[in-house]
Amino acid sequence: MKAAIRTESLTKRFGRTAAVESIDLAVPEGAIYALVGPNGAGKTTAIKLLMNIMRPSAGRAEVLGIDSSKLTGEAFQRIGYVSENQELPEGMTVAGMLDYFRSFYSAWDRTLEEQLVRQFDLPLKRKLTHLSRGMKMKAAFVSSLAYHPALIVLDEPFSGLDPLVRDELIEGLIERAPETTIFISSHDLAEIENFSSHVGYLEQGRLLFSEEMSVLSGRFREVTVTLSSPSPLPANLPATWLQAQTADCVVRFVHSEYREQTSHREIQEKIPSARDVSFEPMPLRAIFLAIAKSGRDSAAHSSVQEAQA
Amino acid sequence: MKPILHIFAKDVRRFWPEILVSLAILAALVYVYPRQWPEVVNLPLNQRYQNMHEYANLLIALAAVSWCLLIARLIHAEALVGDRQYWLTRPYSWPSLLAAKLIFLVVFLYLPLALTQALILAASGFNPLVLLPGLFYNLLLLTGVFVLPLVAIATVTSDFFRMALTLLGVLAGMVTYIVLNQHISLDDALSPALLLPSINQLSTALLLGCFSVAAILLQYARRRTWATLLLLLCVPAVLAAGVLLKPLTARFDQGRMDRAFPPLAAGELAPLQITIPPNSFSGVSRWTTASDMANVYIRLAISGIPENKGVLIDTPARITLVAPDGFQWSGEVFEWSWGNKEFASAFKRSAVDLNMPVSAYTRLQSNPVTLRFSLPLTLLDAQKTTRVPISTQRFAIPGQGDCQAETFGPGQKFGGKAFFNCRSAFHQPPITQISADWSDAPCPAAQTELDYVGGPDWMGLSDSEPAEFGIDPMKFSYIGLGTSYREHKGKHLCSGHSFTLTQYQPERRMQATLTVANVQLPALR
Repeated sequence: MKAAIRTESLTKRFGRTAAVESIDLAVPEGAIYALVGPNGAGKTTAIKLLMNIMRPSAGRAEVLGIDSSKLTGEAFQRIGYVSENQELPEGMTVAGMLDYFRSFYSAWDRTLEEQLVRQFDLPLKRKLTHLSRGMKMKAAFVSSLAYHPALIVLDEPFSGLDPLVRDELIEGLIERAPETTIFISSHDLAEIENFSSHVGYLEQGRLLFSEEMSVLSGRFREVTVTLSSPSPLPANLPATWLQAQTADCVVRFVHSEYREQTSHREIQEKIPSARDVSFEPMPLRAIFLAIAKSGRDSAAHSSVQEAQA
Repeated sequence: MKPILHIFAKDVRRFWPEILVSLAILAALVYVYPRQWPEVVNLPLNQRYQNMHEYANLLIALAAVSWCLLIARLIHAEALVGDRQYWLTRPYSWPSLLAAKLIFLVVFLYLPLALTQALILAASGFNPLVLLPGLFYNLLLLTGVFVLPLVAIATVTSDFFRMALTLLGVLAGMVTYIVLNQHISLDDALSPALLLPSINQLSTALLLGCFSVAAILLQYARRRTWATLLLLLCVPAVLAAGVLLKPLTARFDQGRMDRAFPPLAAGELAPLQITIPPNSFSGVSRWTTASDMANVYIRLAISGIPENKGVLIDTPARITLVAPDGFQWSGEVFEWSWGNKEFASAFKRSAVDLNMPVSAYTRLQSNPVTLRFSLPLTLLDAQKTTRVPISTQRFAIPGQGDCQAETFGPGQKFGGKAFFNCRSAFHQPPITQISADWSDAPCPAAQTELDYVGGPDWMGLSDSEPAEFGIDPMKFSYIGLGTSYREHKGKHLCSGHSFTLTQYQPERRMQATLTVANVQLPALR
């Protein structure tokens, strides 16, 4: 499948600190890709590299088939970018800003603009400087969606917004999803879990994994093994078993490479005293917590390698 | 073109208050400036000066500040420093953005300024259309020295506060440069004045303008703030290197001096002679009672200048005092008497001031010495002469401007010191001698004694560019006939007399060495 965004060893260093370390990423066209990770993981830097706001220290990125370092001017006719930190032309009214931006886009859809303004209940005559954070974000959304961009890049768009505004924005975004690729960063898993098709996890500048949401959910299971008698954890557990612990006759762990056909047998082989094994699907939040709490590097690296394979 | 106009229109809508302020200041300047002229406001000069001249200067300063603000706001509207600006991820192309900013400056800075200058010229009796070359040259200087550097600084700062801090830094750097330049001056090095013919306003404007344009283009095209800053820092670095390497460049400067003022050929006579007038007063004194430096004052007689010629002694004039035993001291002439360095064919007295160590002076003073002058000279050729009957009316000097004789003191014209208040457009007039057919004796009873003056005087410059850098187009010369040289006793200006203004043109530049032997220096007291 054609990639809307593709990076190769994309790296950004500030002095000795690597904000983004050798990221290899592919976002398929039409995907809703969520780049998640804790604060300071490098999500914003990665997006700024993609948008040519910053230049990479090494590696490269392609956005809509254009080298990101050449992403200027006309290329932004097809890209909508909204960031929590972005400065808007504060001296203008909402209508003035939309008027101004409209003239730059050949594909600006006046009807869609009006529809979004109504949907977000935007006060057109008010100056941006007098708007609340949520209203400003809505105005930014309208100005970035009204020209049917082929790619929408959102950097922590819902951060600090109340749930009502957040839901309104997500609704507006999902309506655009069929015609576009959405790349969204967030540190809050709950807000993107329900509508993302792909997910990547960034921590300390490294991309720990990047895959389809359904595949990710499918390969993680919370495993509970009931033993016939109390016994310690066997040595040399597989690296794909995360957070393994035992209490009395029960062993619990997170399986990061669950396969319906083989996982049960694999457990029986490793733990011969297993009397009963149950596999429970995990919500995204639980998956990330498991990764975060476990020995991330080894598990994640192997996961990425396997996922890529 | 469409995006350019959209950005331009957006900026006009956004910055109309700043535009209005800057236009209001220029409008006030157009109103106030001509009120310095007696034909517009009939007040004595001192009152006009206080009332209007200072207001005009204040408005000129305010105009410059308002443009700083306008440029800062304009460029920072789409700031090039930072990574949060909305325009970075919109379909802006940098050439369109830059073009929109330039159009804004043309419409709201250059056009109003050109109009202001034209209106002031018209109010002063000049035809602006005839003076278009000067107007454009002045705008060119303004662009290179003021507008482009400000735009360049705005491109590497993110807001007005940071830009103001940077400008303060630039100001501090300029002061440091001037102080350093004054302190690191060697006797063997030539003064900066010598370099003026080559390092003139246009060169400065081009140098600053080129660095600024390169910085602006680099920053707009690539947004490489550090690289742009480094490029801009090259300018002070070059200037600082010029000052710090001054001792090493003395020989180079001498080469420049020889090229600018070629030495006279062997046997060729200098166009002026220097002698010591008999019974003339010379003097010497320590700077302070305990100082080891002395100020020496030597009277001179200047003669030998051909008819219809004049001579301008340029900078630096050097003097060497040689004792009979071979001991010698050499230095730069500190000052020519009364600041006059122009001489015409009539016999004339002058004097030089020197500063030298007391120990050298004591040794030289014991026996008659030989004075050896090494002078860069400009031979001037007399051109047209204008005779103007003495009156209080403003009179035109063709090709130069106009003048009016007036007085500082209250009461009638010519009641105090007679002097000319001359004005010209964009640059100083060509070098001109002003004299009068005055009388050595008091005016006869039938004539009114108008004034009692010292003698002729000079105004203007031997080299002038089409325009001098400035927001106001007018240049002023105030020439007091009573303060110039005093080879004669005072002269009497009587009713019916005329002023004579003789314009000169540089004919040739040369370096001449003149010797005066057997000079007995006065004893140090």
